[in-house]
Amino acid sequence: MVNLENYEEYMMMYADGELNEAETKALMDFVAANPELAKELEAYSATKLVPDTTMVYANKDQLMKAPPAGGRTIGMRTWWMYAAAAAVLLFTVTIMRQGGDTADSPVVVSNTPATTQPVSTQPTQTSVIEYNTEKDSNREELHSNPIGPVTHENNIANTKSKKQKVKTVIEEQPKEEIRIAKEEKTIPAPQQPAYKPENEPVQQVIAQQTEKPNKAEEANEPIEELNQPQKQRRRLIDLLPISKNKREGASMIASAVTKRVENVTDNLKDTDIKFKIGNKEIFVVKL
Amino acid sequence: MELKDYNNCVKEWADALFRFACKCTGNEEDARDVVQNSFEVLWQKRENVAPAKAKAFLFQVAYNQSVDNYRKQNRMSYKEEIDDNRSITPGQNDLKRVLERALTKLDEQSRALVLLKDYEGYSYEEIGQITGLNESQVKVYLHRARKVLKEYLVSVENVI
Repeated sequence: MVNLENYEEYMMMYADGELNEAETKALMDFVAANPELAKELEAYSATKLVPDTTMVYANKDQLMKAPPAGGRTIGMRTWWMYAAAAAVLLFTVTIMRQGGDTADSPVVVSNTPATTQPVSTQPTQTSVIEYNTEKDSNREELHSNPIGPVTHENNIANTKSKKQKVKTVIEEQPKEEIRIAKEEKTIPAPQQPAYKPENEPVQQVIAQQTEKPNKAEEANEPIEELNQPQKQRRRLIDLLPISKNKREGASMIASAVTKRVENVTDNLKDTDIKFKIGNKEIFVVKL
Repeated sequence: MELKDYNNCVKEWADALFRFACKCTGNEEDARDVVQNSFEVLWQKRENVAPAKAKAFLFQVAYNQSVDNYRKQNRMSYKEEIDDNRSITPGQNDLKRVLERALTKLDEQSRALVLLKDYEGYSYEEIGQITGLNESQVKVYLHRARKVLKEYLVSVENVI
């Protein structure tokens, strides 16, 4: 029931459009009975806002969504695949390069002779494993030839005869042939002169060894153990988009690392453990 | 809600949302941001929003953003100053313009309630759902707002 106490609320509800028919009629009857309130009802009714329909949002197209195009989605996926592949490749190359840096640094070479620096009275750890069979000795010679300078002069001198021997071995052992042949291919030609001079004093050869300790180390490496990981690394290395020189360098680094691991194993097995930094022997653990 | 429903919502409600946001924020630039954000939220939540509820959802997001935006930046006070500087001269008694000025006298929440009521015709209950207020609160706040608007209109009328 509309009265002087609540008419204002009715008027506001009227402006809000919340009154039903009966309530609206009751309000109108009350205002008709109290004409001084008509102006107030009119004022409340005037507070109703009317939207300005000329005001529009201009860029509706930007809000709308297009159906996903299949080709585009596939393109994105492909892009991610390429990105992932590139990242893996970059990581691999970085690792390889870091390995190269390590190889260039003066790393411990256990068979570096004491002529460069008097180290210890202990026998060197990377002792050459003697092979009983002719085949093994041939292989050792072959392997030592490409990778680095050798301590044995006769090894350096007889390069041609070594190659002939290798061929013989290859004929005898077809499985080994592939491996050895690959190694021969990867032999960097410019390195040959370094081992060439037969008449050079031994000191000079030793100096070369200290410059490239890893190579020298590898010269004494038992081929049987070394070839397997080297072969695997070569395969990976061949896939890398790097120059031939770098590939060869990486190959040698791989060999050196393998050798070092094997040295540790041998040390544990046979005699004692030596720790060296550069040419300085830190300590020796005798077993 | 499917893509088609969403795009229909853009066609159907973008303008209304923009007008609402404009009046709430008092700033067209902010209003555009509010509209974009509201539709973006709707797109993200489209799986959970039925097409019939999309409009209320949009206004709910826009209300929250407009009121928050206004509260943070308090730009309406600036607009109010400009409006107050405008002289109301005889013959300029356009009710619409006077009402727009009267709207700036309201706080952001009351203004939003009036706009939802008058522009969109929502009921007290629906406004409560959009704003998070209960029906009684909506009614009280709206009536206070109406009284302010009415008194402003009457005062302007007396001046004129």
